[in-house]
Amino acid sequence: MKKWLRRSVETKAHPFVVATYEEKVGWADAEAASEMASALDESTASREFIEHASRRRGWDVDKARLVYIAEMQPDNISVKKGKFGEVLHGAILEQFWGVVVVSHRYRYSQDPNVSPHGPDIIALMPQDGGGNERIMYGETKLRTSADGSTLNNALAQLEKIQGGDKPLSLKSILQVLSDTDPQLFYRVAQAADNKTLDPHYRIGAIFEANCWSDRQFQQIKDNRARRINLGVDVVKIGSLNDLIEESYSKVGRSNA
Amino acid sequence: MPKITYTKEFLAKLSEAWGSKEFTESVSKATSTSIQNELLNGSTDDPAVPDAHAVPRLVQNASVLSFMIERVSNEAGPSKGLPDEATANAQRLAKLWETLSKISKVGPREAFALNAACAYELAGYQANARCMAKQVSASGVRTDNLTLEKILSEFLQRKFIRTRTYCQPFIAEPDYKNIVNIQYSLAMASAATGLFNFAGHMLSGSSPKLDQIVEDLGDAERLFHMSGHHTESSLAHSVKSLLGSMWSRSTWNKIGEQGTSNFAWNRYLMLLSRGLATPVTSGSSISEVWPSQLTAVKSGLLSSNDSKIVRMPTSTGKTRIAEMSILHALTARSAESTPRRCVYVAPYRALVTEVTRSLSLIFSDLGFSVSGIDGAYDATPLDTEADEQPDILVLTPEKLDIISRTSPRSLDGTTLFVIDEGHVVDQGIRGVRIEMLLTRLRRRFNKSRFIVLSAMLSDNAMHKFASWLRCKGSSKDDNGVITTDWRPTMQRIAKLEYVNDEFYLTYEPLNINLRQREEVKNPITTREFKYKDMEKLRTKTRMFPRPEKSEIAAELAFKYSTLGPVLVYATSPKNVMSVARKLHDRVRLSGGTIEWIPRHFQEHRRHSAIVSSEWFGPEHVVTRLLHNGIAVHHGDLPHALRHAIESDVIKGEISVIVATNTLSQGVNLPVRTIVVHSCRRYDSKSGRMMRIPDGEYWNLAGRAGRAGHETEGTVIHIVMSPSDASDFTHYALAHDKYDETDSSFHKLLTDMVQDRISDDDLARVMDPEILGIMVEEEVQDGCEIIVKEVLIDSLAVQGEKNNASIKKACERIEGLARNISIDSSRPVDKTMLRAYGGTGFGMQSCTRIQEYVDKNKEILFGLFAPSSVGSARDLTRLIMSVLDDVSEMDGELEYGGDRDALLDSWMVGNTVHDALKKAAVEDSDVESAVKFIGTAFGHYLPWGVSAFIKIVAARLEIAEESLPDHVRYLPEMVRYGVPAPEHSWAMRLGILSKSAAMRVCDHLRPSTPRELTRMITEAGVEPLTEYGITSDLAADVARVARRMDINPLLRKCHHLEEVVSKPARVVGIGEEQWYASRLAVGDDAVIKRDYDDLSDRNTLAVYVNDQHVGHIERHVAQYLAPLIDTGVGVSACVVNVEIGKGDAPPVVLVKLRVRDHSEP
Repeated sequence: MKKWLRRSVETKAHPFVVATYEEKVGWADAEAASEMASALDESTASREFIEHASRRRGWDVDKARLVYIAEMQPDNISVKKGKFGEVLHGAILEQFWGVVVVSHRYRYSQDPNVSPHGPDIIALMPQDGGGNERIMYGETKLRTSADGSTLNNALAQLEKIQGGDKPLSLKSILQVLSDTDPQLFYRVAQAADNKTLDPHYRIGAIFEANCWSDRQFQQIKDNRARRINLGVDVVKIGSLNDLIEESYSKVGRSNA
Repeated sequence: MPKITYTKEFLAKLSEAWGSKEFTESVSKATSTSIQNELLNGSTDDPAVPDAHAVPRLVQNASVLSFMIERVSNEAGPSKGLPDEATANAQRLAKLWETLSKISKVGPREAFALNAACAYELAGYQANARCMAKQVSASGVRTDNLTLEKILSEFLQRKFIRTRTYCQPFIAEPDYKNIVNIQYSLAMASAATGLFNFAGHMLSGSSPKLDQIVEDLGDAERLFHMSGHHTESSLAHSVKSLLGSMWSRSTWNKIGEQGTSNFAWNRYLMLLSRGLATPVTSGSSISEVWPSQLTAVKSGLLSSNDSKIVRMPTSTGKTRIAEMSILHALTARSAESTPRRCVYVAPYRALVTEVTRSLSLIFSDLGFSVSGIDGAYDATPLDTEADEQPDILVLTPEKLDIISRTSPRSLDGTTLFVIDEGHVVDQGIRGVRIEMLLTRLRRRFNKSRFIVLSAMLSDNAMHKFASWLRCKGSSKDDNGVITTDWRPTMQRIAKLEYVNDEFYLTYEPLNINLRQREEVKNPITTREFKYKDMEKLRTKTRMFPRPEKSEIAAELAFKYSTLGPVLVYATSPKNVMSVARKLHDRVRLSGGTIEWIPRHFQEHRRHSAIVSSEWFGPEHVVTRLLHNGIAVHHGDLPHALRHAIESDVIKGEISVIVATNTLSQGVNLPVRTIVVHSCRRYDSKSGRMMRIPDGEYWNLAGRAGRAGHETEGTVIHIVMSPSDASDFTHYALAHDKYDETDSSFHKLLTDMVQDRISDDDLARVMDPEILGIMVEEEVQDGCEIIVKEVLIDSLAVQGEKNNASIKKACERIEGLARNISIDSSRPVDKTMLRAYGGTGFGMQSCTRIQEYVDKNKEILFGLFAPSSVGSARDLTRLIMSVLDDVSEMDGELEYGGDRDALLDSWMVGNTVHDALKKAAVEDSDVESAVKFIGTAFGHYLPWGVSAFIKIVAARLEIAEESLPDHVRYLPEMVRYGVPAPEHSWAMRLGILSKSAAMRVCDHLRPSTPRELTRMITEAGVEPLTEYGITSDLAADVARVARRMDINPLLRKCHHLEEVVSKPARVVGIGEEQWYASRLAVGDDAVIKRDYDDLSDRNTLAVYVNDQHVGHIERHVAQYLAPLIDTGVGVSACVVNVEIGKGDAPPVVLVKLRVRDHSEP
């Protein structure tokens, strides 16, 4: 993904950090789609785990994997977009902010056509100087046409998490991690229990390069943004619809 | 990276949670609500609704606590299980989940029940886990509709054979084209593989690769979660954390070392683990050693031959301890070539039947024979004439006493004596006799092991017993006394009070640290019933229960019987009948209105009602009560009826039994609820009503709570007066106390010291014992020296060796012995002395009979000569007239009416009721006549007849074997009331109905008891049902007969290869034979277990080309079936087909092939 995304601008003109990425002009869509397909495939929870479990049962690993991949791809276009956005946002967070995304591998595992409740992204955010990690909740918005209220909606959703109990999705992730990855389980459990560090909140805005202007970011009201520990990542990609379609059409092909 | 452990932190958090007042209060409230709702089951009243917010909060907290406890168990590692400090938490958590599962309309009850089962299993309460898992039973579910919950229910009930059957289809690789959800399919396959393999290891004892099984279930957990099946995921997580403890507590792990080089021990554990039910798939595996049993094993039960005293509460697995010691004794390596035998002494007839049945269940499949002999001192050839002596003899002390005198050689090789209910040494004259018997046995079998079992011995008595029987412990501090208070179910005691027209049920917190006092308001209520009086054709009203004890007890029994069997305890037969009648009224009141009557009170043909009808007649109150499912049990009822009632309660045919303390003696008859109506009884010494002893109260209360049926037994004490309240407080505080058990012989000696016993009375008690010693020790002159030695060895004297008064009392008995010695040296020769000793009578009675014989030699010779064909009835009449002068008969043969007419009518094979009618007994005399028949004809007369026959045979010098059958078997014929010897053989075999026994024998015409057994074994169940025996009873009889047929393969072949090296015969009936005749040599055959055969648990069916062609011959099947049940695969090939001539069946032989334990 590094190949086709690059950090372009970082500005502190707002009370929150805005980091913007753009597609690298001139790259072939095919390569971007392949990379994204691979990221989508990996993010669809445990393809490896299905392989591992089938192998242990003595089943035909290739057949099981193909059935699984086919089962896990959404048909619903809005879910496809949502998932594409979340995976891309997760990749950006991991690559450029060094966070560990723990959620999206489990998010679409139950019904690929249903967007699960809860924050789009739950991650562990390292602290400067190697101190205690803190929990990060992320909200992703992917738009292929202009919509002025997008970022304010994202803010409203994050505020819900801020005021209430810990989201249920965090509990269910902890349950899975407790056996599948005890180390990560303890890190997340400790970060979630840590009362001295507030969670960090982050918005990922991914949009068709020409449909939405930078000015719209200015419209996020400062007084709302100030109340939460917030960051925003912005990605502009040309021909986003085509890229999504092409990426999904490649999902699983390399494994077939 | 170092392993992160949260165990300490979690344990602290668990304690913190249970320490929270708010939390424990809401748990307590929820418990009260669940009790109330349980009692409302089936009624129209609205269920109690707990605080709407409290329950979801409790569910959430319970989930977190479960997670933490399971985590702690996982961190301890699969081989260790839950640390001790977390066990109590697991138990409380289990109770909380159980409560939540009972509160209606809240959450997924089945998942809560399984959570409770998992927590109970972690806490070590396997029976409770089984009980909770049963609530999610898979029975009736189609196999293609099975879910993980249903499979886990079977697994947690330890139905391992069924678990494997249910898991199998999920393990196979699916057809990928039609698969609906690969994650779910893989999850089920992973869970099924783990459970299949673990169940296989629990069945076969092979060490499980726990890591792999845990990994399988971990895969399942994750895959279920991934596919959105969160309940299944959570259950997979829970069950994963159980496996370590299940294996570490398993029989294989705890007592398996015995089996490394021992065929029988290994097979024993295998038989236990497949379960003892019929069919085997319906029962639970016995694959866990209970803590009580483990205590005994750790105290050297199986590692030494030292004698032991074992005290445990009722229903905590004492019989299994006896069973293990018996097998240990039978299979111990020894240089001696004589076969080893074990003797189990059970002091009650019903207990003999129960123990014989229980031991036979397991030992017949191990190739050992078990024989049960109940009764008094009547000696009959049926007791000892078997071709081969049984390996295990279960008998009453009286029978053991008489056998040890009359055929002492038949006890040769006995290396173990198990004495059940050891506290009976304090039961009056009987206690004296039992103590003398044990003292004599200890002398004769000085190298044998003695194990005394009791629930009631005090600490002091246990140590006296240990010293008396020369017990040894496994360490310096332990002198062979094994004691534990652990129980498989929990017990709670509550009082029911009546205050201001309302009832309050208050539970006593037995362990103050564990729970709060819970109170339930109005568990029963007084209501007005309107019903139609059919005689006066008027509508009447009746309030029930009125505030009096019998009605309240009846109402409690009515309500609680919907939850499980209820025992109402009352101290006198009068109170028993009063409560039973009130309960009958209550049932009729429900019937007179439109109210629902619980099924168990509906009229139904119960076996006990048939027996009662045979004894008392169809219109008698006891029979009518039994027809309505209400049983009474007290000393005035005949033994046969009491036995039938106990059997119906055990089978679940009767749900309410109102009893005096007759039920607290002996048989293991646990119930769910005990209602205490009264606990004071008349004491003739003080002339006052006195509290029953604490030990008796708690021994009775110990029957509340059936392992595997309910998690908690309840004792409800009715409190209507200050005296009731003080009784309740007294017993609640005396929970851990035991009554002092004082040897009756010691009391006799004390009475002698205080000069409170006459010479005649002393002779009456001690004469038979002295004669017994003379016979056993083969001494005549100077027998007082031996008697002195025996007395010194007795329980009563051995602790009082320095007591001069006791010594003096003993000298008086020695004097008695000297006199007998002098008397007997004149008229009695050695042969006669042996005959005397074998009667159980005193010297005076024996000489009186001998005098009669001497006067009537000719007549008697005519009756007793080998060729005699006299009448059994006439002979019995004659003997009865002689016995009237015998002191041992104690006036029991006296009868107000025409005794001879009654005897004649009894002995022609009539039922008691018909016998009474034919003897023209008035209706008002029925009860006394029934009691007379039960006591005189059922007990005293057979004893007297047996003694008389012995003395006559000895005096006339006729060998007992040469006596005609109607004389030899006369005691049994009198006991059963049948006209011919063979009828008594059939009844002895277990056919309880006289008319059926007579029909069977008239058809089969057996010439010896052995031949009858063989005929029934070969004929099977079906012909028996043609004689009017119910199919259940017929199956019982066929099973009893088969148990007597010992399988030589089990004795001789300790390697599977030896058994399969020879071709096995295929036995078929009907059209199977037709198919079998068309088989060809070389045809492949499939061997399948036939679990539908209710008369044989080991049937192996043979299929060729999917066609059933017969069964594998019985002995081979008995050998192989347990192996197949535990996973060994067997196939076969036809090697011989011979077509029979005419109607003769074809002879088909197959060669068996064995595969290793089958993997999924």
